[in-house]
Amino acid sequence: MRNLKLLLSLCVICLFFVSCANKKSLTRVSQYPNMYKEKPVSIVIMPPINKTNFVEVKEYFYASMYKVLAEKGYYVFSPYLAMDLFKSESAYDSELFIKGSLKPFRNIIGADLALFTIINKWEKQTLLNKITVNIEYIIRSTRTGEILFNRKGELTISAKSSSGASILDMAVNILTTALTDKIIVARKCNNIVLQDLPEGKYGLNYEKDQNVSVGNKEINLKLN
Amino acid sequence: MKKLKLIIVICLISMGCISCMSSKSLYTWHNYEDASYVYTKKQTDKTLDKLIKEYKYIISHQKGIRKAVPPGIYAEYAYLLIKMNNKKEGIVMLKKEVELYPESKMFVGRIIKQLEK
Repeated sequence: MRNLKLLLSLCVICLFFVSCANKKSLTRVSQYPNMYKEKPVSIVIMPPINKTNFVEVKEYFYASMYKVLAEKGYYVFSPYLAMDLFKSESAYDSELFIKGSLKPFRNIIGADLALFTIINKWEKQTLLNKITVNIEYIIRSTRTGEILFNRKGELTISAKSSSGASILDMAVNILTTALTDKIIVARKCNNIVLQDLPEGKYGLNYEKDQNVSVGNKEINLKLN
Repeated sequence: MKKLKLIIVICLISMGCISCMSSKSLYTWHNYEDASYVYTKKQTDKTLDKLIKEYKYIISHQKGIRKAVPPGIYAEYAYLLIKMNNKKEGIVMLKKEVELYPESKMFVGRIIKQLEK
């Protein structure tokens, strides 16, 4: 009976925490008010700005934002088609557009928003069993040019090191890290950072998510 | 005693519901992300074939909340079909994209016009 009461109390406490976990002062509407004013429907993903030494990252990372934005309820222009257009129209370097006019993307593609990303870190430290990505996400309106959403995330995923630290454990950890592709960590980073983006037209909570709480503008997460 | 058990069960179910409330996807993506990534990394007949299979699966097996093909998928499938010289089916897919997502008309409509010239 005592055990049952204890279990019941625990359940009630857990329920309280689950329901209150998101009640912070910052909300989607307070952080990103113009997303609600402009009511954007479509988004084009711009080629990432790569500040790392890995040239191929730009291509690899590009399409990874497609799914998360579509799941947020936006019309997302196909990354393959958009990239093809960017390459043929000499618009492959987003550095040229990140602060400039976005009218061409509105007039040629019909996009309401343009997502720019800056990849600052894309590292795999095999011996330390660590993968780190650091990416900044900037969403600008193609109509006004204004920044409507801006967040930065640094995500480190480490393979759990075992307490025994035997040579076999270490070898397993190193192998696990080596086999984990950086794109998986980048996808997680996309999901975490873009989670705060207000929902688009096709989202279930479109225009109903103004009071959902949001996290900090800069996120630094370490996961095991 | 019975009441207490019932309360506990209700609590557990509620917790489950709260944590799962927003976890369902709008669309079914199957293995699209991996197939697309592998194709981007290495463009071979094998990786292309896997990606094409993904598009076909996504188009015919939508179990997400919207029960609709995700935005961009018809257009992307069309893009690869056209690259494989299957222009006719490619145009059909592009038209489906515009029909399902009128927001794509400016961009995709222009591609259709060019292809139909």
